[in-house]
Amino acid sequence: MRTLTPGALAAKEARANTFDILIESAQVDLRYSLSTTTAGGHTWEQRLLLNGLGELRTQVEPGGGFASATTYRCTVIDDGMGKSPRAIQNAGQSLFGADLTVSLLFESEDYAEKIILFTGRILDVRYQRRGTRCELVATDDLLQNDQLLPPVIVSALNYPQAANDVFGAALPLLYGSGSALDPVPMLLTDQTGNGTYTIAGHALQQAGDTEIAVRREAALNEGSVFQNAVRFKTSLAGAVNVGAGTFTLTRDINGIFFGSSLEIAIPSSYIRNIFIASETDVTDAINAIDGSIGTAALLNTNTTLQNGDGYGQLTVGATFGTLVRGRDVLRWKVLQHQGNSAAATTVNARIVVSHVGASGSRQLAVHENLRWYSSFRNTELEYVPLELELNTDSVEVQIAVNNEGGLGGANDQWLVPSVVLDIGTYVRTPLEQLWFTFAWDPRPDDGSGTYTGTPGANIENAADVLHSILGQDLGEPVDTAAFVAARTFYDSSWTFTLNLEGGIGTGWFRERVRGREWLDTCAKQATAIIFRRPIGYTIVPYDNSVAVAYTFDLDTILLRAGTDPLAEVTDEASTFVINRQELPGPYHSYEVHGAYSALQSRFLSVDTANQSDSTVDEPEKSEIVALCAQSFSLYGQQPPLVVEGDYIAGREAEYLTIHLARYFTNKRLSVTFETSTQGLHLELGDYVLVSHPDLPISMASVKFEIHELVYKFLPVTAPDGGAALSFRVEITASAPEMLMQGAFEEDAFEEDAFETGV
Amino acid sequence: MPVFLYFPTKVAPTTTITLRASNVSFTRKENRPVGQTMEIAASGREYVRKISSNQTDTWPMDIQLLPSADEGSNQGKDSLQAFIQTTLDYMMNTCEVEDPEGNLITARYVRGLESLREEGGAGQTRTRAEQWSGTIIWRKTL
Repeated sequence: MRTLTPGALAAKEARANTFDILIESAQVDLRYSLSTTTAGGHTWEQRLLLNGLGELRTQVEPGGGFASATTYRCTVIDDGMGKSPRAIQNAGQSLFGADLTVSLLFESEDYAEKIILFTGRILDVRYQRRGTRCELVATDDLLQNDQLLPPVIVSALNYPQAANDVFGAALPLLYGSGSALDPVPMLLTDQTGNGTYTIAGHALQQAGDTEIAVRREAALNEGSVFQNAVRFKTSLAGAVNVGAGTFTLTRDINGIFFGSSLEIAIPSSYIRNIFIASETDVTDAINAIDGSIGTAALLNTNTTLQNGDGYGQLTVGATFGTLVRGRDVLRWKVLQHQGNSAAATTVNARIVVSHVGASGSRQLAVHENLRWYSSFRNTELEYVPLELELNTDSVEVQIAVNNEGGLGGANDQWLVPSVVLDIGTYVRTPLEQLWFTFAWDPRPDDGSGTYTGTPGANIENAADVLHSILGQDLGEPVDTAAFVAARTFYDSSWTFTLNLEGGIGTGWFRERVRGREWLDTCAKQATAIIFRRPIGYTIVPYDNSVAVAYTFDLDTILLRAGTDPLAEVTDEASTFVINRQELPGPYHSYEVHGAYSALQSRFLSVDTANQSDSTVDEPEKSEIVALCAQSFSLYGQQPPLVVEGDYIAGREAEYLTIHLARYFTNKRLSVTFETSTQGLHLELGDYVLVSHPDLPISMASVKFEIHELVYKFLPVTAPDGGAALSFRVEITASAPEMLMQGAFEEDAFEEDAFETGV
Repeated sequence: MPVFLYFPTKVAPTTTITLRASNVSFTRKENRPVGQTMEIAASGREYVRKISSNQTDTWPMDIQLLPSADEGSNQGKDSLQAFIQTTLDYMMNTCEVEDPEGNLITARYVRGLESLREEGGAGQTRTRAEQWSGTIIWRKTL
């Protein structure tokens, strides 16, 4: 309900009053009125046309959501003089994007008491009729600036070290209060280039086992993306420097590399590099690959079995555990070698790699006739899938180098190259496709206590989340008083606090989505509506216990505009219309899917209510089941109402189920009518009583909730024959239908049943 | 008291046209409320709403036998025409109109210059009367 000054309240109720319509853009000093020339110390030009004021319409879905406001169009006189649109543009000021308000000002009131009917921004300026008219097109702020969220995009500017692959990706926003978020896609980036990494701007909360899930397939939002997900577990203990919002990955876990793509390996503690030092002979011809003692090679490793003559056995260590068998890749790489360049062309090398498991030995790769010097240096030879089965599995490597007797003959000295032989799990994946599970910090307050009241506290209360999205991410003004009231309502009106905290580990994230769409979804799950007030966006939780804002009766429901005052008053002339069809419902079965897991692409919880049972706890369970049973018996089989509640679980999901059942179980009856200035103080979500002969007498005391408000500026012919403006407020409101009260237990239909918040 | 037409305002440095009262009369002034409506509720209760407490004032200025040329301090049709055509640029600018009773409105020329007709000449020596009659419509600006 809009707060009006006593003077404005009296004026709107008066049988006779005088008003003016003001269209104003303070940013560009555009001020037009129908008659006022000086108001609020400004100069007003009479550029408005009675037939050019259009109408203002705003509406919200029953049950909650983000209110939509239709585009407002008004046509004004534009002669290029004074402060006409063309003159303003000619003076170098752009009208596009400028603020625009439409107000009604009673003559008895000061300019400061104007009643603002619309607040938005100019979207378009259309010149008409060879420059004598101009149409101003304005929309809601969020329509005019329809942003995608989350707002922060990785670019070379803010993440100079990020991979090219992830430029353009968005940093996810995390809400909630938990510390064990299910895997979400997050960026692991080196923001400073000095080895300090952050995950999506959120600090790791604690060291310890951290699970890293790597998703290898496709883009986000594909249903099957997790089929090929690979999950590893690695301990970051000792390697993590927790604090200050960053952590450092040290060389101790050098299995993690950062490059144009992220390469993850199981830390190589169970296997070491093999260095082949210079050697001239081997002592055991059996182990030499060609059976000759003249073959030179030496495997010099310090953890694996090696006999020093071209044979090495690399045993999988016990610490390898049971985590990743069957998914490993063997890689070997020649790092360097020294040799007699003159002899290079005469030296051949051969490498054989075998996997020795319980079922025997299997040759993985053979490389022969390798020209050491010319073709082998710094070459990655191969990645081979390695199917490890038991801890006792091993990898055997035989390396042989023949001296074919070039310059210097058989006794030539040469150095066998160093060869790195790594075994581990290597996954190449763009950074954006990494999904991490870890202890994490949810999104905190902005530090001022703006969103939570406590600087630094987590944003989780439903009002906090909505405020944060509106104010922090979309940059729109928020009605602070309403926000505080909503926050208190969510906090203390129930036996629990309604948080939008997600279901899994009480945290959630959202991939790229339109801000309005996101707000709409959040509002529905918080059983709230959001609409625009002049001072900012207003969050109003559903609360049927608030007082009735107005009572309409035959004295305040108008006949159609332009009615001849002398003509007989007939029913046909009334603006009052009853509609039983437009609203959704009735339903007798509800499903609220909650606790969405992005990793699993499914909802992990479901709350139901129908005519036979409900997952909702007592004391509401009995009430809800009874309501559903009544609806089922009266209206018959209906499809269930399914709501996807990404951000709620547990008690919150139950509460939404209860809300839906109370709201939609009865068929809702909608009325539409026009009133005069009496409706000026009403807003979306307000409750009114409607007394009209067309309504059953039992509906006279039922609160109607306002879903739609239309401010109409109708050009009409005045009684004296002149041109005049009829200002009207069209109201659409609905209430649970009370047509067959006697058919049910009276208790269920007492108003209290619908007023109870919980 | 003659009729005065002031441009741009009475007090600022101004261009003034003075017409002899005997040639000009404002006997058909029309006053009308600005946008007054009557809203009727279903019960028959009436609500009166109006846009402004101002009135729409239309001042038809009836001109009778106005000489073409200026005569002394009183100005003639040629000056009046120049004032409307050039100074006011027809409807583009407003001026103040003061009637013989001293009533004053800020007005905008609407139409009427084209309605001025010269009276027929008298006698054989004068083929032109050089006296003009017609009606010029002024409307009060809000």
